Amino acid sequence: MSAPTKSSDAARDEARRKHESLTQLDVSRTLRAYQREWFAGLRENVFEGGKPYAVVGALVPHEILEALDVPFITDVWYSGLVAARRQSGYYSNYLDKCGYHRNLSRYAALTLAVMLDEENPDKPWGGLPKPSLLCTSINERSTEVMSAFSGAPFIPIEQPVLDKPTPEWWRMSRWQWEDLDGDYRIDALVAQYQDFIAAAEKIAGKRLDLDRLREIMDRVNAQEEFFDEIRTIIATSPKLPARLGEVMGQVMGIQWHRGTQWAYDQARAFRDEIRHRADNQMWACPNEQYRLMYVGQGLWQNLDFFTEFEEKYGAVFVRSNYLSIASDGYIRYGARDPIRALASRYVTMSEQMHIPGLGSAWAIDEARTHRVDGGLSIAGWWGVKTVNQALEEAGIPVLDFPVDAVDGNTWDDAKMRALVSRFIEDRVAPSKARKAF
Amino acid sequence: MHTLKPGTAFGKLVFHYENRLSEARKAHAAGRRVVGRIGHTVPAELIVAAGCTPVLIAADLERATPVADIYVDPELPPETRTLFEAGVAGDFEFLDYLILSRPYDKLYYFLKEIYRLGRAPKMPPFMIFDLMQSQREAVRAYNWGRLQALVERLGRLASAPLEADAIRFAINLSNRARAMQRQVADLRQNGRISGVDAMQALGAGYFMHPAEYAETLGAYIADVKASSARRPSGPRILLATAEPLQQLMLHQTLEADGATVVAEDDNWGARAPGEDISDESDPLVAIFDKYWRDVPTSGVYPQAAREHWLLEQAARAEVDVVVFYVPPSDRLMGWDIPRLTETMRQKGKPVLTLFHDAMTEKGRNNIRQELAALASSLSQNTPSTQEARR
Repeated sequence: MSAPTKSSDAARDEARRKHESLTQLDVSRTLRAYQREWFAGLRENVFEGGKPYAVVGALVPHEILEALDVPFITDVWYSGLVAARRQSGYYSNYLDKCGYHRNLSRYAALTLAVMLDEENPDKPWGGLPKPSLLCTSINERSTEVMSAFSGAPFIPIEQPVLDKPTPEWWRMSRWQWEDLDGDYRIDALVAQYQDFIAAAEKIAGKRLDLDRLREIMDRVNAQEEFFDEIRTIIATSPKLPARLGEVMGQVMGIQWHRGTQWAYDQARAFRDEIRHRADNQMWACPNEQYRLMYVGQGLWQNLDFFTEFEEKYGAVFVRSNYLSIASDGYIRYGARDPIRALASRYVTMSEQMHIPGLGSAWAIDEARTHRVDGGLSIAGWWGVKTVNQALEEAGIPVLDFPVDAVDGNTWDDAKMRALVSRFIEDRVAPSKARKAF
Repeated sequence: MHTLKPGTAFGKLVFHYENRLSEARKAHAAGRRVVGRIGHTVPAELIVAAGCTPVLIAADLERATPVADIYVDPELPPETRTLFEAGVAGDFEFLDYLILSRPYDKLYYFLKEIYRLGRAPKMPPFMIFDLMQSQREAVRAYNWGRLQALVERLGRLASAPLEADAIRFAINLSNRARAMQRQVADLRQNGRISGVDAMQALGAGYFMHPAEYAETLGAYIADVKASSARRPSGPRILLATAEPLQQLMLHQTLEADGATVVAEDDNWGARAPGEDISDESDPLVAIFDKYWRDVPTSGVYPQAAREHWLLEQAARAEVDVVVFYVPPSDRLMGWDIPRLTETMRQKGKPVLTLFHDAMTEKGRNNIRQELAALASSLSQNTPSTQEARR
């Protein structure tokens, strides 16, 4: 096993400076300011005040915790923070040291590593105190380790298998979700949510107010509608109005707080700024030549990488799963029973991007609507091969990008630049030229 | 220990273990309906009750997978790739129906898509039986609904609803086989059957008619009892595995230098019989309870239910060492290993964790070396390299 390494403060400052110089959106700054404020509140209430909080997966109904005023951290997003701080290599190695072998997914488990590593004070937000409740997919076995370590009860969620896959699922998901998802599958999650609600009520010290939950659901729908507008603007504008790294950061920053008034307001401000930039032809890369899509988990360890090919090639990244799934995956209208609508929202959440047929049909539709010339597809998630294969068959060249989304040990800057450069020169440019001809 | 003699009961068991589709193809040729099942949580009893011949479809991990390599991601278990390849190649064409179980959900999705694309025209009709493996009341209603859907589908295949008496009859047949399999487990613990032989004797049951299997296994047990063979003097191993033990490579490697695998936490081995299916309640309810509550899959939750059998077996005096087989394809069990290792250590049981792939020669050589080092430390009563490292 390699010795643990930490990112130096100087390297981190340098990355921060570079990031700041690449920032084009005002909402990126307001997001960062809010995150600082939110974190100060979390520190005061939870870390210092001892208020119970939850660690949850990305695919569990955060809206319930929001409605109960239970603070929560999402494991994969906290892992993203670790990666963005260039500490993923260190914490991945720490898991090795604890005996968790290298082939186990680090995507969510960096949060566990931060918790287990009690002696190192250099952590995002100073680390995490022991939570009072855990809820993730049952397949996220690292949560059982966290439960044993923290003593917090673990409510696992088992997603029922999608026995009747509908390739163009996004055309049904907003209104026809009961047909799309299957009532028995929705029932399966509703039953499990009852356990989650009971456990969350216990630490909240109050009962879930369904009217409040319904209001939150409505606000989430409205927030995702702003994202939908942003996607349309990005897809249909002559050139890209905002860099992908900023868009992804913004989307996830807002999604983390979805259902709150702040998230709604921030999403609206985000939409307004993107519209303003498009209306005034403020392009991310005025010399735009090639439009690329990014497929798979966010490259949280190096979001600025997406800007690296603007100057030399005029290549911009116009699309990621994150903005698109916000509008296609989250919106649920006609939610008379908010728990049921929530269950529908999450019953196939994320899986629709992986499941062969579903993931590929969506990727092709997205590629066409965004007028992309090529795709960069990150390795390490199941279903990626069928998505890549389908894109290639649809005439869209794809680069298999061999890095882990969060593990800094897999990153080699020169190699990655060379890979993408070669891909643009050898595949994207000739493919675009052929199409133009 | 036992040696294979052609024409003996054991010879017959080995034949069916090795020629896994032989019985099913014979049934198909004779005009009987054959239903394949992928995974051990699809109740064979219901298939028998529907008047069909059940056969477990197992992966041939040595098979080349040129088509699967195009579509199936390397992160997924090797089983998924080889079964996908078999489906696309038309290996399942003779089946009247194919039922996949929940642990094979990814395979189900890949097969659905390749069929939709018209690139696997020889696939038979297939479905997934999505029995959730966590043992929580929250999933009971869903699981029961899925069982009802399976019964309904099999009823359509049989052209008549499944009768309670037919289900009871099938339960009795499989319980007879289970009783025999438990005797095999006892003989292993007593050093009368090697792990390699036991795996074949137990595994053959997935490919034979239950009545014929119980009879053959009974004859084999009588042969073993009559023989004077005893196990070698090497360490007695309890094996826990991250991958299904559908081939003999690992057992052959572990037993090559005198060790004996006395039990394994896997459906292909010592966990094959489990408890009997109750014949005192509604037969469908009894099957439901059996396949929900008494299965050793990695999806079982909570942890205590998942590990109960393993810990109970590890405490037996007949077990000298616990081996965890965690090949590079593992994405789940590794999270349990540090804790399980510590638990075993506290109970005074030596542990050997194997991270090598028994399907490769290099992996097998490494496994033999590490086991030899452990056996040596056990015989000298010194800590093994792994123990010392801890």
